[in-house]
Amino acid sequence: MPNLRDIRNRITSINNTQQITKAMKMVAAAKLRKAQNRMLENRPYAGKLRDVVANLAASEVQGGEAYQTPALSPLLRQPVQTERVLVIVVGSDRGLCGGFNTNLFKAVEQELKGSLAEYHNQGRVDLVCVGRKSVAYFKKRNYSVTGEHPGFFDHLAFDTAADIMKTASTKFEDAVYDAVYIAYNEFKSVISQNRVVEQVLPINPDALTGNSSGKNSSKETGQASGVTGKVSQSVAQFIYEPNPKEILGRLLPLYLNVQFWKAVLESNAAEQGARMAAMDNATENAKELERTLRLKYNQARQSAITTEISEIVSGAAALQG
Amino acid sequence: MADSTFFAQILTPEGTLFVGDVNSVKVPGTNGAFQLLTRHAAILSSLEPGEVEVKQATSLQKFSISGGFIEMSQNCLTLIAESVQGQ
Repeated sequence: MPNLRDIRNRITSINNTQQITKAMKMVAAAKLRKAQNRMLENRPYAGKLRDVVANLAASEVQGGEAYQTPALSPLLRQPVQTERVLVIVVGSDRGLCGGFNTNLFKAVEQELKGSLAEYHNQGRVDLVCVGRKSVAYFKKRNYSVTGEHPGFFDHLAFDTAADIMKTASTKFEDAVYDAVYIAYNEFKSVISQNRVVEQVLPINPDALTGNSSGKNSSKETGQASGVTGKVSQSVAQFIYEPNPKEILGRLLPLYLNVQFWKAVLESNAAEQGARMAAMDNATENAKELERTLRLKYNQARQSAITTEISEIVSGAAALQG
Repeated sequence: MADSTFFAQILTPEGTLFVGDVNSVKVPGTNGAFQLLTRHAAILSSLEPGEVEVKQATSLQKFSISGGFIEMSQNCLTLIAESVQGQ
């Protein structure tokens, strides 16, 4: 017969766990809201920046083909052959968020064994890990981690994100890397994330000019025009100061930084969403467990009482007899 | 008076800083500081670190930026700044 006190202790401890997971869920919900706001705040900026880049790209001054040449900006370099690849993995700093990290890391590894296998097998892939969890995971498995940013999400700021991307893009300019990927969790909805491994360098010229039917770009410009309202997309004859080349030279690094920043914000929101879902599940499970334990406890208690009564009754009967 | 104002907004990665109708905007362009008034010709310019002055009918606001871009077309001004400190 299960010990009554043992069951009682377990019930108490499960109750405590339940309180913790419930609190964590609420904290995550609050953080999610904040993260979502930041994401929304970034949208007009990112959308406008894309507009400006598209505008420059489409401008007559640039003259179609000429604009793709690396002469305009070293960032537009289109490597003939890919020597070395950099993957920036945006994980999270904290655990207890379900499969958020594991799934992303698996997707990265799959990519490394799939489309990037050629480089991976020859040790020509470097990783930059953002967030404690991704640093820990990839270092433990002996990947070549060239950059680590633990605690990145503690102080989430555009500047720190820009620094990471700047290092990557400078190395691309210097031909250390010929391709740069970002791996992150895209925020699809509160309870679901998309794992994305996307190539940011070399820059796809079509994506810049807005020719692509990329879902992201269309979504964002739509958002932006909603906010800016009066801004219409016209290819008017612009005055460029000092000249298109210089503007592009400054604009492209910023464009990359913003692309990375967007990924970071998405991942941040997705993380909180994932944690919220995970903690909600945990609370539910704890409730279920408590229910079964409570049943067991009552059964044990009842049988204990029954035994006691029958002992008393038989004792009394023995006295009478 | 409505004629002399135009629509302006200042965007940063961490949010929209300013939206509204203004009389003039002064910016630190790469080729030197300049001021934009209503019906300015379409322009796209990069900006140096410096101060942006936004003048409305009754007020004057100042922003310190660390560089960015300004675009003006069809009487709509958009300033995209990398980072903005204070006012």
